[in-house]
Amino acid sequence: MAASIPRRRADGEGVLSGDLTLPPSGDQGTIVGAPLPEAPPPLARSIEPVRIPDPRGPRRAAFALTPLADVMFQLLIFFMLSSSLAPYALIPLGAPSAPQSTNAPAEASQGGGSASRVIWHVSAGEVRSGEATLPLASLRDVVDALKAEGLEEILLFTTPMATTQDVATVLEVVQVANVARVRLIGRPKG
Amino acid sequence: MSITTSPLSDQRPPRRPDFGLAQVNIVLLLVLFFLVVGTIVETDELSVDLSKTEDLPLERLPRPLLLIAPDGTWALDGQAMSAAEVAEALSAPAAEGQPNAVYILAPQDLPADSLIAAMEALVPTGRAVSLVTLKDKGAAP
Repeated sequence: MAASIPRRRADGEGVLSGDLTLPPSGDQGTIVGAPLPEAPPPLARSIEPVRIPDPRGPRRAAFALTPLADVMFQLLIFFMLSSSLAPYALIPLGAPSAPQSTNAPAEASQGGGSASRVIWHVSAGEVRSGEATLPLASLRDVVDALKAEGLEEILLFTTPMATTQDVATVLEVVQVANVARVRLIGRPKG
Repeated sequence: MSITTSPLSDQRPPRRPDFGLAQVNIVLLLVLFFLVVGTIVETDELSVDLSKTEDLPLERLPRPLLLIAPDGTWALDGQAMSAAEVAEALSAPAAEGQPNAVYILAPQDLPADSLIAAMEALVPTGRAVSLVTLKDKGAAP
């Protein structure tokens, strides 16, 4: 008795039946009918997956923000540690000329009572002008009064007691008062 | 004619806003803030107790900075130099975009003679000399 069994097609797309005839029992050593093809490939390999196009289009790859955030934090830490938020101000000192500075006292003393020029000696916390001694705290009012009288130039001598803060205080007052010119004169060396 | 959306659009979860983007924005703003407001200084330059002023406008503190230490030694942009070396270094033309100037960081208790000596040493360089002060807003006028 010959039995018919289903058999897969070689391409795996479907199932064929009736083309294989098995011999009756007892004659199992002989196969009658068409020979079986080579071992068919597995089903999963041979069938292409069905792809339906996405109506939203291909999805773009997301931009990785973690490295960017790391770099930003490193920059932030660098600038926080290396920068200073101190409010600085600048006092322009110009480019002094040593020969003119040394000649200035004689010229000023000869000029004497010129109303547009005053001679100050700055010391620790005070300014001496002739016989008068003015504390630096009241210097602003004096400069304003002199400016009203036509002050144009200040010859500022430093004494051994004067510090940078004293000089800066005088120069600040003079700069705010917008006096035309200030000559800063140091003591002769030796 | 009506357009119907694909049922597949419901299968993908909605994309959540990335927290990293806001984080980067905030950090970038902080970086810009410190870039604009801050001034890069050396550690030694911060240790100087500068003279204080009250009425002068705020200024940036560009380079070069000449630090005059309380012991009288000089350092130009963090490098210890003698007066001759500073004069030689400043004789070179300023870098492009940098002002042709030099800024003096001097302690407030430095003798005025030392300040004037520094000014005299900077004369041959041809640069504008400015004294850096610290604006003291809290001081009484």
